[in-house]
Amino acid sequence: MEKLILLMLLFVSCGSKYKQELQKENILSGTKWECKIADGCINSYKFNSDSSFIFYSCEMEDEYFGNYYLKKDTLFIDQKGSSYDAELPEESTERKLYALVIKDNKLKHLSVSDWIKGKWVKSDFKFDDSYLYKKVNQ
Amino acid sequence: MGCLKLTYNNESMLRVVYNKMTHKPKCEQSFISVDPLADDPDQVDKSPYAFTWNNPINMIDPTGLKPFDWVEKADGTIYWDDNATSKETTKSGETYLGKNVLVGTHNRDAAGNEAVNTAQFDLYLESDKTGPTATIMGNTVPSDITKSGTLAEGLYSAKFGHRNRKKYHNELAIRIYNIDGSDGLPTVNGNPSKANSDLLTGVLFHMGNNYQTSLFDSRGNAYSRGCQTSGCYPNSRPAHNTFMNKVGRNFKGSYYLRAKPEPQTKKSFPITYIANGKVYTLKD
Repeated sequence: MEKLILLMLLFVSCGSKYKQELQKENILSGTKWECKIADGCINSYKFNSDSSFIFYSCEMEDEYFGNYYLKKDTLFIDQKGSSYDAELPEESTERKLYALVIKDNKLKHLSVSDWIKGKWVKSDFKFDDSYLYKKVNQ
Repeated sequence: MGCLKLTYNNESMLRVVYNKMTHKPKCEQSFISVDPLADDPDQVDKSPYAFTWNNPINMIDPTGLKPFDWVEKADGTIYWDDNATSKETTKSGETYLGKNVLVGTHNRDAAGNEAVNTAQFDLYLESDKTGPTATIMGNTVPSDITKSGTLAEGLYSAKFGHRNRKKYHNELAIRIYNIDGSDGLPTVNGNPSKANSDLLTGVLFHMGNNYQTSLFDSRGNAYSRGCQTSGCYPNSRPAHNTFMNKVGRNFKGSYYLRAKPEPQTKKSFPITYIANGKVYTLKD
């Protein structure tokens, strides 16, 4: 009986966590987040309801695409490539996995990994902490 | 060099006039004898009478034979050689560069790393034999040398161009090819981005990062995967555009990538040396 109660508790706890993550994802769904890089240059993330995103880089004057998901408090952005890459053979594209944190209603990049020979390799690229993405009303 | 005064009247479309006041004559300049280098391989498609290959803005031709070329001396200085018109006519120990040349002087260390904005690009044009016409600092390495190939030193063919994608059609850049016009350029230590080839394709000299002093954007995306880039710093675009306006949209010539020339050590006299137990002094 005790075992059953424990199992039920575990099930309820997991379900609530799953619900929480879904809620977080729902918070992102349909939102746009912007970061001013320089005068006249604004980068932006746009999260769609189907877990896909579009990132516009004013720096590269390019759009990047891929999927996003949440794991605990970390937002992962699996960037498959850019519209430029879409014209190149797959071996030439640069797939990246970004880890971000949502804090005080701002997105901050924590780390980036590169997809090399079938696995993620963490890059030593250092993010500038001043580049924070703020949620904007659409 | 001669001058024919030409005008027209009602009777004939064109005729030579000498003392006619009714129409202002037009002076047509050209060489009045055939160019002795008319059969030169560079000139087979040109008129043997034409001055500066009909391009007086970009070329000079003081002797009327054919335009001369840039050459690199053994000490690294680049000069306009009145006698060099090809590799064969260039003095021994010197490197023939061509008529219009972009010279990239890299600052790579032994491992192939290069501090950002420490490479130098000098533009040598046929229209300005005092050269260089323009200079800009930049980069000759990719954003990440462990992921992309690094262009090897050497002489390449080059012409004004842009990247293939539509959004780049207005970019001011120079496309770099092998001397024979083919793509697939040699690399220093291979090309990590390609499994089956050590060669780099689609190499250009293009604008660097206009926002940060880095070959990466703020999210770690590469600005260069093997290209040559101008300066990376906030608001670097105007400097790049000024440089490229000097290059001109008609640029067709060479790209020469080289290491920094070694400083020439000057011997200071008198030199004292010992041989066979005796002390000798060289005065000069």
